[in-house]
Amino acid sequence: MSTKPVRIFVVEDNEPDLILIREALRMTGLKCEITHFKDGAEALAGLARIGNNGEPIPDLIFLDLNIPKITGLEVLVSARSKTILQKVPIVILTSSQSHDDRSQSLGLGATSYVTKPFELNEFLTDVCDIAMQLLSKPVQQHA
Amino acid sequence: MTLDRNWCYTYVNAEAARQGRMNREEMLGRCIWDIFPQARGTLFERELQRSITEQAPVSFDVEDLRYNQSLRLRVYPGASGISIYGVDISAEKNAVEATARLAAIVESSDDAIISKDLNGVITSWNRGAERIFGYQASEMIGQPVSKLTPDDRIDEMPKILDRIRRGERVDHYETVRRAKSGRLLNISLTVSPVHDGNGRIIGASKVARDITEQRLASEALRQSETRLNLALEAGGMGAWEWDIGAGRVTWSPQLEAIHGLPAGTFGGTFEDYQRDMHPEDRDRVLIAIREALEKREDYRVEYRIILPDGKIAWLEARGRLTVDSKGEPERMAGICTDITDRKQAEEEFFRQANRLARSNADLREFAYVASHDLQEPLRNIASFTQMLNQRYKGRFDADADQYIKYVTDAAGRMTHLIRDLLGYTRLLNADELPLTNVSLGESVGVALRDLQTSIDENHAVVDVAPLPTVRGDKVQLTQLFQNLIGNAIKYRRSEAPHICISAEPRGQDVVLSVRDNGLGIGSAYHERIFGVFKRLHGAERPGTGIGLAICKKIVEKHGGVIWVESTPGQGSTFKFSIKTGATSA
Repeated sequence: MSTKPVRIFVVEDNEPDLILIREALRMTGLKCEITHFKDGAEALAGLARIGNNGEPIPDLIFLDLNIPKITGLEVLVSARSKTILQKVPIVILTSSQSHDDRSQSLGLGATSYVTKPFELNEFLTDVCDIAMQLLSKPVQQHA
Repeated sequence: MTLDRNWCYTYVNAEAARQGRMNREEMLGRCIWDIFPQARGTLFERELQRSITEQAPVSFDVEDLRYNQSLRLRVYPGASGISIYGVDISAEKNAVEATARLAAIVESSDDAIISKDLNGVITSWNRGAERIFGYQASEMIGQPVSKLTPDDRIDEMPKILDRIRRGERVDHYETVRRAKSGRLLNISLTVSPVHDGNGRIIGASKVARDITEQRLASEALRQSETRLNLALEAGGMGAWEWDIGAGRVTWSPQLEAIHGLPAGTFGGTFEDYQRDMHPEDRDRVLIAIREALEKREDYRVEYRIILPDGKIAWLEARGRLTVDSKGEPERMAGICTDITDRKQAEEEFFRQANRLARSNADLREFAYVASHDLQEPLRNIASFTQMLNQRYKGRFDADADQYIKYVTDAAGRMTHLIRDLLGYTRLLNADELPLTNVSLGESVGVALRDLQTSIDENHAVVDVAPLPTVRGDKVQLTQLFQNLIGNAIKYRRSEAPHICISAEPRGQDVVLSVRDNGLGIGSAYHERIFGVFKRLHGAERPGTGIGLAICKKIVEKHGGVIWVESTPGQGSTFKFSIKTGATSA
């Protein structure tokens, strides 16, 4: 019995962090199909394809704020402007501890705001936990 | 003229007719009382009667008010009547009166009026002379005028007399004379020749005025002007005055100098006043003047002028308005100060302040870089060396495991460094502290709880005496104690750490002490340890070298000072002062 994998978008320019996110998602025990975008422009292009050519809607998006070309906040606004993406959970995963960034992100429709923890194990468990929490419903639907 | 026994004219000469303003023909044979009825009962009739009665000649003067003439009459009685000779003495009488008037003026004059002959012998001496010189007329008339001359001026008199002999006049000659009391007087002399009836010079009249007071007053005025000028020059000031009605502006020479103008070359109109004013400042100055005039207020304005050599000078003008009896502005007077130096100092100050603000901004920028851009790669280094350690330990050789440990430790140390540095820069950039009443006893309690692990591990004993409540920032004061107590434990000797915390009042301040029995610090380092990244110890004792720098900053932000008293091997006592100013808790 092969379960349908959960589709996860990761917008992240820092490759080591991408690896840590993959590690954390592995810890969820879920079968994940990860699509990686290394800057804001790639992410916008990827989001634009959804729905047009039968590209499926992602179950969860991890979005870094400080990324090249187009900022994470612009990607967030663009995603929330598309009807089909309005319900998709978007987690801002950033090293910024700024209050402004947090409140702005949440104000523009981010589902959650996580500051990348400095400790390795904290990082892994925090990302794992938030993924489990947000994916629990859709996973059951798919199951 | 002659009259018979019946008072009738028997003879009238031409002069008598003229004096009576009649024709001789009309008078002859007529009675005098018919012709001059107004003369009856007067002195004239009485004197005629007396001459007849006494049969003796009489002489008397009469005033004929009708013709404003004075007659001196002589009456000679005879057998057939009387003869009357009348002489018109009007001119003589006027001269006498004029002389009397003159004499009165001379007598009442405040000036000394003296006459002397050509040999310098005094011939008259008025009351003014008595008053000024102190000699009575009786003492001086007949004396040489040189009696008044001080010895050092004895040659003046012959010179003056020479000029008088040549018919010249000496006007307002200022000299010195000696009064009877011996006092020297400042005198202004006017000496004129006196002529006799034939035009010969027979002497001199001298008017002497005592100008001692005047001289003193003008000397005082001159001295006060000198002082004013000195003050103006010393202060880089010049005086000005503006006659508003006449539109005239007057500048003192100092003000001309401030404007780079040679003395006496300022034009004096209101336009001249504005001529070298900086175009950007002109409107502001004119508005200030107008407001002073409208509100009847003092005037003060700072503005720039362009000097003849093209340089810019800053002036501060202050003025006071005078109003006329109707309350209308009449004139304004004041001073102008060259404040170029002050302005330059101000500009330099603002430049410095800007530079400081910029460098503070740079520091904040650095704090951001440290917090974000440095932490990000460091987090990756720390994470992946940890991953290597956790997953690949034992899969390389022993050296590789050791190297990985070095990297892990270094990354950990750097993480602490960056965090402490961030704490310090945040303290630097913090705005004014929100002050509250802070119980230092509670602060120490919180610090001890945070240090509990370390206290337990080191079997440390901490004694805390009663501590006061102060005005301050609770979080910072707690951090201050935490750093000091933490250090006291960290820099221990082999024996268990023993730490005493106490407070003693000193004036308006209270001095807190944190005493330990640790390693102690050499006096050479007592200052240095409070600097950023200054460490006494190597890697064998953990620490970033920022803890005491943070302590110093916190104490300074609370208006106190921090210092250490210590001898190596005998422990250290860190002390800091802090304002109490708290309502006792």
